[in-house]
Amino acid sequence: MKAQRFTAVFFILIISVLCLVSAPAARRVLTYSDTNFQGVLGDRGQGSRFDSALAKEFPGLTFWMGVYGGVNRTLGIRYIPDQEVGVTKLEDGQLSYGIDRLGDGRLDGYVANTVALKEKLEARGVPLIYVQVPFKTGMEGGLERGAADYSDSNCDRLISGLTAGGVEVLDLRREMDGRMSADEMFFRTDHHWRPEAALMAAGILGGRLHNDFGLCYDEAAFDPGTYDTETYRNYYLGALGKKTGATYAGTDDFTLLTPQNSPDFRVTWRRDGKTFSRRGKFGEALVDRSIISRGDLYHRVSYDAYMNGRGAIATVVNEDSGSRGSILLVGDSYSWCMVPFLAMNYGRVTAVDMRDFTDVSLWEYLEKNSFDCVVIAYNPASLEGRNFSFFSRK
Amino acid sequence: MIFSSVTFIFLFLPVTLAVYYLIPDRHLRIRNAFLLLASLFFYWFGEPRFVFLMVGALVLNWGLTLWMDRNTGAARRTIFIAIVAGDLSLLFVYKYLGFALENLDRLPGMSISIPDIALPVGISFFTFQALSYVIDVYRRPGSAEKSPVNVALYISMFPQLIAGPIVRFGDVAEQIRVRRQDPNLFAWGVCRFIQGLGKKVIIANTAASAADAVFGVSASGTYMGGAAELTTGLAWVGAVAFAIQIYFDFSGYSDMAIGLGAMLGFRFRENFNYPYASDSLTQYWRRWNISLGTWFRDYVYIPMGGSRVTTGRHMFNLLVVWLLTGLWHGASWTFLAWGLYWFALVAVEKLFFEKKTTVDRGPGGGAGGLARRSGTSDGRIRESHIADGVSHNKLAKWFARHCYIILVMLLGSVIFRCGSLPQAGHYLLSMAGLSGLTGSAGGGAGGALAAGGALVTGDQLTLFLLREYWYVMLVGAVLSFPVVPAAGAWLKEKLGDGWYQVIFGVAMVLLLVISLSFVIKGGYSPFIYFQF
Repeated sequence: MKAQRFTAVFFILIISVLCLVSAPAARRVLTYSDTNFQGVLGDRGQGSRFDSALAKEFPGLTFWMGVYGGVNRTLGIRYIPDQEVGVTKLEDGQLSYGIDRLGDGRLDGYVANTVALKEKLEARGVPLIYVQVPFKTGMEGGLERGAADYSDSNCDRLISGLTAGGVEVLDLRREMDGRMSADEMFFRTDHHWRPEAALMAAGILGGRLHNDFGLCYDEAAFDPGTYDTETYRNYYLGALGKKTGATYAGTDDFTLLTPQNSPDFRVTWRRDGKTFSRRGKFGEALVDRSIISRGDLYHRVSYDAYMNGRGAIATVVNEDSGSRGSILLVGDSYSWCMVPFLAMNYGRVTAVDMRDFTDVSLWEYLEKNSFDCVVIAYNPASLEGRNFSFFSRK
Repeated sequence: MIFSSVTFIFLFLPVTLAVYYLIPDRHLRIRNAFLLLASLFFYWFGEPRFVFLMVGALVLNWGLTLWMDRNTGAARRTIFIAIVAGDLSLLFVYKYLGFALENLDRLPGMSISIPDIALPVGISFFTFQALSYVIDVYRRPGSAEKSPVNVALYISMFPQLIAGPIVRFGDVAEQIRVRRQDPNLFAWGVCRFIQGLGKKVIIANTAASAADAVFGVSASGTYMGGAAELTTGLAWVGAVAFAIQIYFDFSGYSDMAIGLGAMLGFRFRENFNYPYASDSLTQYWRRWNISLGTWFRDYVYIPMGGSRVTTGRHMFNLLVVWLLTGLWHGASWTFLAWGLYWFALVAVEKLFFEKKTTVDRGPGGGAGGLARRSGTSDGRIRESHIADGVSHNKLAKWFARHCYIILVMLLGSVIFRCGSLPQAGHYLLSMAGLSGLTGSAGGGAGGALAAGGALVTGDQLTLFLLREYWYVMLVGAVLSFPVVPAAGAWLKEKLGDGWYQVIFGVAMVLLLVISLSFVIKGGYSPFIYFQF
C-alpha cells in the first residue's frame, strides 16, 4: 500500500537522521559519572539512567516538547503526569505542583533538630530565626484546582512546632501576602520566586533582624527603586515548563536586578569539591550573566545566575560595609537568591545548602566560624531530612 | 531496553536495521548471526548479568535437545524430562523460590531465611519459548535444529524476547532459514510498530497515571501522604483506568513486536484480537494474549486430555491450566486467585452455556494466528468477528452479554492489579459500595488513621481523575473495539482508495510525531508485562 510505504520512508528518515544527530549526545552521556559503561556489569539501572540522560540531551527537544505541550494544551489537560512530580496548570496559567503531606514523625524530627540548634546557638549568644519562604498557592483545599497540595499545611505544622520550641519564626507567606500578585511573585513556568520577590523578602528579613536582634538595616539596600532592571523577554522556561513544553504554558521574562550604586564584593563559593572566587561590583561578583543565556530553552537555567550557580557554601564579603554584622543563611535555591541583596546590607553573608554541605556538619562549621545571626530559610518543598541534619555530615 | 524508549528508537533500531540490511540477503546466516548478537546486546543493556544466564540456557537447550533427538524410546523420554525439568527449575528458582519459601516460613515451627533473588526480565517468555522448542522436537523426531545460532535466535530474538508474543519454533523455523527482503512487509511492519507505540505511550502510560493513583489509595489509604478513602466511584475509575492501561500496554507492545518482526522479514502470529469486544468468556480468552493461551492449550491442556474426557476430569484440566496461567503471571496469591477466578467463570460458561463442538478450542478457546489479517482458517474454529455477532443476535442480548464480559474483565483486572488478597477484597467491596464491611483500605491498615489532616476526599479524587483523564478513557474505550478497521473500510468505500491512502498516510505521520514526543518527554517507562 502506498501510504504504508510512505510512512515507512518517513519513519526511517526520522529515526536515521535523529540517530546521527543524537550520536554526539549519546557519547557525551557515556562520560557522565552515573551513566558511563565502566563497571556497568551488575548494574541493572544503567540502561534506564542512560535513556533518561539521553532524553534530556536529545536534539530538537524544543520541537518535540512543543508537540507534547501543544497536544495537552489542545485537549485542555490541566495535570501533566511526570516521573518526578506531576505538574498542574492553575486557573491563572501558573504552573505548579503539589507537595505531599509531611508525616508527623519526620516533622517532629525537623523541629527537634532546629530547637536543639537554637539552644546551642543561644548558649553562645547567637540568635536563630526560621524563615518560611512562600510557595505557589492556589491548590490548597483539595483537588478542585488541579492537584492536592499540602505545602501550607506542612508549613503551618512545622511553624507551630518551632514556635512551641521557642524558635523565632518569620512567616513570609503572611508577610508578603497581598503585596505582590502571583505573576509578580513567581515565574509562571517555574516553582521559584522572581528576583523581585527575593529582594522584597530580603528586605522584610533585614527589617526583622534589625528589630529583633539589633542588626544593621539599610533601607536603600532593599529599595527596588535603587536597582536597575534588565529584562530578557520570553527568555526563561522554568523547571515546570520544561516538563510540560513551552507550548503548554508559554515562557517567562527574566529580570536581572543590579543596584545603581554597588559596593565592592569579594565572594568565594564551593561547588562539586572545587573552590571559586570573584571580586567586583554586584553585577560582576554576585551574578554570572553567562548563565542567564547559556544553552537553549530546555537547558537554560537563568535563575541560577544569582550567586553564580550556587554551591555547597558561599561567602560574600561587602568590602565597603565596615562592621555591619554577619549572618549565616542555611537555605535552598529560594533563599540563595536573597543572598546578593542581603550582602548589600551586611558585612558578610555566608550561605549554606545542606544538600551539598557534607564535608563537615553544620554545627562543626558553626563551632569554628562565628556569626551575629543564623537564619534558616526553606520553601515547603525543602522540608526534608538532609536539610535539617544540622549535627551530622550525612 | 524497551521499545518505547529514546535509546531503542533512535539508537538501537536504526543501527540494527542499517547493519542488518547492509548484509545482502543471500548471506542469511550472517544476517541471523548479527541479529542474534543484536538481540543479546538488547538484553544485556537492561540485564548485564542475566544475559549470561540466558546464553547458558540457550546453549543447554540447543545442545541437550539435539542429543535428545538422537535418542529414542526411554532414553529420549529421560533426556526430555531432564531438559524440561531444568528449564522449569530455572524459572522456579528465579521466579517462585522466594514465594515458596515465604509461605513455608509461615508454617508453625518454621524459620527459613528468604533469599533476595532478582527476577531476570522476560524469563517467563524465553523459558516458555525454549520449552516449546524442546517439546515440539520431542513430539517430532528428527526435527531438532542443528544450528545453535538458529535456535538461539528463535529464543532470544529481540522483538519478542522480553514480553512476547510467545513464538513457536515451527512458525519461524522456515523463516529463520529462508526469507527474502519484502518492502511491503517492511512497510506494514513500520505502520504496525507506530500503532503499537501510540497505544503504549499515549494511551497506556497516561491511563497508568490514573490507575496508579487509585490503586495507591487502595493500598495505603492515603493520597499524597494524606488520608484518602477508596469510594465506590473512585474504585470504578481505577478499575477502568487499569483495564485500559493493561490492554493498550500489552497489545501495544505486541503490535510493536509484530511490527519489528515484520521489519526484519518475520511474520509473527497475532496476539490480541479486540478481546474487550468479545461476547463470551471463551471468546475473550481466544482474543487475549493468544500466544500464551495456545501455549497452555497445546502443552498442558490437550496432553491432559482437554475436553475429551469426563466432565469431572475436564474441570480438573481447566483448573490446572488456569492456576498455572495465574502463576505464570506472578508468584503471589493474587495471581493464583486471579487464575481461580477465571477458572470458575469459564467452567460455568462451558458447563452451562457453551454449545458442544467436535473441535477442541482449549481452556479459553486458544485459537489464534494470522486469521484476523488473512481471513484464512488454520483448521481450527474460525475467528468470529464482532460484526458476525451483531448480525446474528438481538441487540439487547448482545449488549447485555458485552456488559457482562466487561464487568467480569474489570473485576478480574482488579484482582490482577492488587498487591494482596485483602487489598483485592477491599477494592472489590468498594466497587460494590460495601467497603465499610472491611473497615479500612486493604493493604494500608492504619495508614488512613495515621496520616490525618486530609485535604482530599475520594469523591474529589474521582472527579479530578475523570476531568484530567477523560480523553484517554474515551479513546481507550472506543479503540478497544475494532473501530479503526471499520472506519478505514468505510472511508475506502466512500472516498476511494486514493483519498484513503492520503488520510492513512497523514494519520500515521501525525501518530508517529505525537508518539515520539511522548517518548522523548517520558524518558523511561517500563511495560507492565516486563515483570513476567
